[in-house]
Amino acid sequence: MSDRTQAHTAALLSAIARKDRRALGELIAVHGRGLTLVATRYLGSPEDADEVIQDVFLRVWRHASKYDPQKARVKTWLYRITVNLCIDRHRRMSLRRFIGLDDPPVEIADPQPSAADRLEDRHTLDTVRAAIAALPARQRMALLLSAVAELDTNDVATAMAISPGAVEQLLVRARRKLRAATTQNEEQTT
Amino acid sequence: MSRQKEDTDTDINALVRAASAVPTDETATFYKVLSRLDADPHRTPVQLPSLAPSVALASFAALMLAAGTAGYALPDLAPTNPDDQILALAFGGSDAVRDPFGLTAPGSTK
Repeated sequence: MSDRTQAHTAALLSAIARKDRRALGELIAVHGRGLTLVATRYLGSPEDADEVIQDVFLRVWRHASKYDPQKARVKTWLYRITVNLCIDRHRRMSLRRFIGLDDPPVEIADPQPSAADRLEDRHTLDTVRAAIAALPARQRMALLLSAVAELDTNDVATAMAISPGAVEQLLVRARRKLRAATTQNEEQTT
Repeated sequence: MSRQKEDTDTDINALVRAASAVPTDETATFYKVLSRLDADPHRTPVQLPSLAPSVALASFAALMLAAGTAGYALPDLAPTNPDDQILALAFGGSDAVRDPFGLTAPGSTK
């Protein structure tokens, strides 16, 4: 994110602290999609992700005045809130699944693939989705923050409240598993 | 980090991005958040349910304690045993009920 965008987002947050609803709408327009994609792929449930993202922006509305620009960028702060709420939701979902109240998550694919989306590509993406879903929760979150949210290692570390070294380890393991899954997929198709 | 590793990491990231793409509706999210703000701007969902059972429980406990105390304080309200009533009819009087054969009656040798 450029300095200008960062300054604009920080200004939005100041406006939200003054209870400006248009500023909240603008913040959702800028960051809502990225946060939703990470939450959806992490939780494996669009409905749960939708609720989590609403909770994220409700928290932003209530606590915007507490944001400290010295500690993190606005984007990182938003992902930090999202990570915390996703972890809480994931624990509750796991418990509900364990006691039989919920079904396991279904595979979520883009329902409208582009015309250029060939069958082989779709098969590869299905393999990647299954591999992401099979990753341990922390590896999955680190990978999504890095690849989808495009946060750098330090920001991923801030969002997950762990050290940059731990983030590197999680990313190495996650990518190794994904690479193995895609390689196996290529060998099966050839 | 070697150039080749950077390339493969970039490829993996691109695959993850592509696999994570789903349609999103930020306008709908905005309106859902607004409706929740309007529904209850000062919602405290954690505190209210936790208080409710404790108040109900305390009220119930106080009621039971009061009823128990009242029960002991009023001996006439003690429940009567149907067997005692039958024996009273057969032998007459409450003393007969307690000692139907007169074993402990005054003048008894036993």
